[in-house]
Amino acid sequence: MAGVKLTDIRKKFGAVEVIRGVDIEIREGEFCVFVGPSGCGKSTLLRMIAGLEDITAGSVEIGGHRVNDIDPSERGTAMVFQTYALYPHMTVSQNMGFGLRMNGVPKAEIAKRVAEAARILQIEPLLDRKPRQLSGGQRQRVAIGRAIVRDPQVFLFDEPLSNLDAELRVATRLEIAKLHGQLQGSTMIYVTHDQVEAMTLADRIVVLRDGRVEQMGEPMELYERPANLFVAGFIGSPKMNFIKLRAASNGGQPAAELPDGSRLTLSGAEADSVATLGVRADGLKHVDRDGVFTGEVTVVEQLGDAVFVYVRTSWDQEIVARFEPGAKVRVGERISFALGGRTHFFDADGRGLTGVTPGNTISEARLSA
Amino acid sequence: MSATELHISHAPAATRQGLAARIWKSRIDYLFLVPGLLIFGAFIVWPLIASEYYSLLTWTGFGAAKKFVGLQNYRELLQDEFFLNAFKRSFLFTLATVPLQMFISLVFAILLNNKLLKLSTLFRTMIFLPVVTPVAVIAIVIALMLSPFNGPINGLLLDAGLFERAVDFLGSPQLVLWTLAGVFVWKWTGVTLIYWLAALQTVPDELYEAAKLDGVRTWQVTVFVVLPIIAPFAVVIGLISAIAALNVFPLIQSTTQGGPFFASEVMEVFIFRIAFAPSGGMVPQLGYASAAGVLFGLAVMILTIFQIVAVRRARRKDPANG
Repeated sequence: MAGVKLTDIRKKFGAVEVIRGVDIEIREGEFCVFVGPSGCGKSTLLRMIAGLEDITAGSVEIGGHRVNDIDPSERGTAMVFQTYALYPHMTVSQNMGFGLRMNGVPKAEIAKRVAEAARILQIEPLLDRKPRQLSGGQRQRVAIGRAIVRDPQVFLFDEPLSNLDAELRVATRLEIAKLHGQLQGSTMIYVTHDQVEAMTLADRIVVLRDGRVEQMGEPMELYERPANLFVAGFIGSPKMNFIKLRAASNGGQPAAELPDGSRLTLSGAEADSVATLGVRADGLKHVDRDGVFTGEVTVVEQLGDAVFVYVRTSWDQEIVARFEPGAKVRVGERISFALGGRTHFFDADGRGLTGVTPGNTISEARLSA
Repeated sequence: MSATELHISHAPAATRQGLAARIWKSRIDYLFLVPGLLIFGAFIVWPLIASEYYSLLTWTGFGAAKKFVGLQNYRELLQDEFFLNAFKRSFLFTLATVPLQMFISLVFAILLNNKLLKLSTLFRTMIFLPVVTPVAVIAIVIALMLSPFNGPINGLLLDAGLFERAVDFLGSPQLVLWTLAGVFVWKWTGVTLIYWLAALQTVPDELYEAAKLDGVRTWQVTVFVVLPIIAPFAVVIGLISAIAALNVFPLIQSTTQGGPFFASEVMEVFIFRIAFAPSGGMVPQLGYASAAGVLFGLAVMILTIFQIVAVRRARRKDPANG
C-alpha cells in the first residue's frame, strides 16, 4: 500500500487552466475525499492520478515513485466510475476478471481473486448474471469488485453514489466505509460533490474550488474551523448563516453593527477586520429579550430529531435556526435570537479570523434562567 | 350504478359518432396530409397494384392492344435464361458488396472513432465524398480511370509490372460485374461508415477508460468489448446495405447498360430493357417486365422478412436492451 503525493499539479484544457497548482499529500491507508461544487476540478484531479488525463505541470507520486509518465495500468490504481462502466455483454465474474484475463493471469488465479472479491462484497449469488439483471447498487458493488481483484495500492472513486437513489446511496455509503475497514491499509481517494458523503466517509477532506485547494483537514476541523467563507458555507447542513457586519466602536472596545443597526461587542486581536459573522443553525438561541436580532418565522421544518425554523430578519435576510424537537413555533411569529454557540468571523476577503469572540453571547446562566 | 350502465350501453355509438366528429373537427390537419397521401398513392401504391395487373397482360405499354394472358408471363419468365441470369447476378452482386462494404466501413469507423486521430473529420469527408457525387459523374470518371487504353489505373498496373497487357475492367464479361461491385462499394462505403460510427457512439467512454486502467490493449478492447456491443447493429446495417445493393440501376445503366454481352445485367437493368429499351428491333413488353418486377419484389420481400426476424433475435440477445 502506498500514499499519494501531488506537488504543484496543474492542468490546462487549451487556454483554460482547470487545476491551478494543487499540493496534497495523502497518507498511506487514508480515506481522502475531494469535495467541491461541480466544475471545481475534483474529477479532473482524480483522473490525473489515474492517468486518464495528462498532467500539464507538477508531479504525481504514488508510493514514493513519480508516475506522471507511467501507463495508467501500471500505477497501482483502480477506479470506480459513477456510471459503473461495466461491460454489458459479460457476466459479473467475467466483468471482474476481464482485466486479469487480458493480461494473461492464470485462470485458477483469476477465479480465486474473483471469488475473494465476491465474498467481501457479498455478491456471490450474482456472479453469473449480466449487469442489466442487477440493481444500481449491485452494479456499483460489481464495479468495486472489479477494482478489488486488481489488488491496487490506491482505490479511486469518482462520484460512485451519484447514480443511486437516496436510500441506496446511504446504504452503499455505509458499505464503502466498511470496505475501507476490511481492506486494511488501502489508500482511498473519493470524489463527491455531496458534503454529507465527505463528512461521513473521510479521514481527511480536501475542499476544492476553481482548481484550487480551499482547505484540507479532518471533517470536524473543517466543520468547526473553516478557513474561509466558502468552506464555511459548503460544509455542514443546513448551510451556515452569514450576516454582514459593519465595523463600529463601542466606547473604545471593538464592535460591529448588524444590518439593522444593533451592536455586537467583540474581543480578540483581529476583531477590527471583521466583515462577516457566520453562525450555524445550532448557534442561534431563542431568547425572550436582549437578543442580537429578531425576525419573523417563515417556514418550520419538522425533522423529528430537530426543528429547523426559517426566519426573515428586518433587513430581509433568511436565517435558519435549530430548535429542540417539540418546540412550539408558528409561522408569522416574531422571534428574538442571541448567539448561543460557536461563532465564526471572516474578514472582507472571506478569510476566517481566529480568536475573535462576541461580547454579548448569551450566557449559560441566562439560558437556564 | 344505473348511471354507469347507461354510460356503458351508449359507449360504442358514442365512439362511432366521435370518430367521424373528430375527423371533421380536425379536418384542417387532415387537409395537410392530402398532398403527401396523393404523392404516396400515385408513385408507390398505384404502381405496385398496377404492375401486378400489367404482369397478367401482353402489352407494349403504349397503344390499346392489351391482351389478358393470366400467368403466361410468369411461366415464360421461369424459363427465360436472361431473367434467371439477371436474378442470379443481382444476388451475387449483393453477396459480394454487402459484406465487403460492411467490413471496410467498420474498419474505417473504428479508426475514425479514435478521438486522438486529429484529421478524423478530413478522412470522414474524404470517405463520404463519393456518396454525394452524382452517379453520372462517377460513371464518367470510372470509365476514364479504368480505361484499357490510357486509363491511369492500367498505367499503374502496367508500370508496376503486375500485368503484361492492359485489363479491360468494364469491357470484359468475366470482370465487369466485380468491377462494378468495387465501384459500388467505393461509392457507398461512406454511408455505412456513418451507421457504424453511430453504433460506436453507443459505447460509453468509461468502458474504454476502465479497460485502459485494467491494462487491456487497444485491439483487445476492440475485439472483446466494442465488437460484441455493436454486433446487434450489424443486422440492421446489413439489411439497409442489401436493399441499397439491389437498387444498383443508376450505376450500371450509366456505365455499362448491362453489357458487355449482358454480363452486368442485373434484375433492374433487365426489367428496364424489356419494358422500355428492347434491343434488336423487339417490341417493348411492359406486361412481361412487370411480371419480372413482381417476382423480384417478392424475392426481396422474403429476404427482408428473414432479416427482420434476425433483427428481432439480435435485439432479444442484445445485453444493452434490458
